[in-house]
Amino acid sequence: MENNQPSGVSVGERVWGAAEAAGAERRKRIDTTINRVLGLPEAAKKLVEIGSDDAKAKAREIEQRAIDLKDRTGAKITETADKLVKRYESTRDNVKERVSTFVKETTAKAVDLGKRAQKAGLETGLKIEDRIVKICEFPAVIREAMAKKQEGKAGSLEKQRAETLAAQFAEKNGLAEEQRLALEEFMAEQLAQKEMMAQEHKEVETDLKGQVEAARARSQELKSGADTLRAKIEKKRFIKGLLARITK
Amino acid sequence: MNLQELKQKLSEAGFSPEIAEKLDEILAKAILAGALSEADKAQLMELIDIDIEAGNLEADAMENMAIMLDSYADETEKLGKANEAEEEKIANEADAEAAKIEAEIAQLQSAGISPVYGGQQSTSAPQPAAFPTVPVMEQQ
Repeated sequence: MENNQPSGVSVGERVWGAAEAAGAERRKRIDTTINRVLGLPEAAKKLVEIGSDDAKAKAREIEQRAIDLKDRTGAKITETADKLVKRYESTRDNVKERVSTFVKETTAKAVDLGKRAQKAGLETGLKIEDRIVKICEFPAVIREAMAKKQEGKAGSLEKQRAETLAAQFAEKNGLAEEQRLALEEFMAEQLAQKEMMAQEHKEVETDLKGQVEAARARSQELKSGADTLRAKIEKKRFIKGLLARITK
Repeated sequence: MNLQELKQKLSEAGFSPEIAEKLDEILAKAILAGALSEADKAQLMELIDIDIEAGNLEADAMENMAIMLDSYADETEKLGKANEAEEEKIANEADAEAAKIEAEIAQLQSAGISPVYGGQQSTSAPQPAAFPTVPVMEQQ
């Protein structure tokens, strides 16, 4: 059987890579459509401004339909983004509450154990409470995301790119300075609208992806740490057995 | 097994530093005395038990925290996917209508009413992309 698999790349990694690529393609398709819809009223408006008298009426009708579509789509996207934020906040609050309760219960057990250790002659007590608190800390990425407010981000790089595109288009088409400025203004408006929507429907999503990765990585680390600890416990039990057999 | 060998085994078993120090102290005293008293033995057994319980408590905490993190990751991932599916539905619903509007804009442009934006008379099929568009935001 033919093997097209590159050496050193597992089937799982290839499947994951393909899924990632498909996901990115899907995301791009969604963004492209939404950006098209958001830009339509401006495009139609320009037709109204620069069209001949005969075409103005038709252009106005197109512009109105483009505005309606943009408004409807924008409202739906905003509603979806709001829903996502609410659901995220509920998930976040829920896990914070569960972890907090668990830390309280476990540190209470650790304190009891510490008291028992002191009775057994361990003057310094056990330092297990600190270790429990550390184990139950969320990874930094999650802590920051949990504390973060959804703030706007200035898209200065995007703005620069839009200006460059406008200048290139103006040069290619021999536009006058006034026309070039109008074009820049048009593109800036389009960009501002796009940024606003992009912020709403992407920022939370990006945060979520980072948090999922951080949570899974920390979970693996903890599982591996627990396995190591359990192996040590077995050794201690064996030694306890040896000690029990010593008669004097 | 003699006390010296037991002391050696204890030092290799990975007890927590505070317990290991105490075990070592008791056994050193027993080795000097040449015997392990019943009281010392009981103390050693209790300290080992405490260390085992502490280890179990820590391991349980690690496993429980791992479960909570996995569950958080699963729920968060589901949220992202559900959101994307909803956005895709919205985009699909808007797509056909947007294409129709774009075609009509292109048709008016190709009719020669748009000198600023390249609207030359054209015999070719309408081109919806006569306007320069802001590049699609890159996927993060």
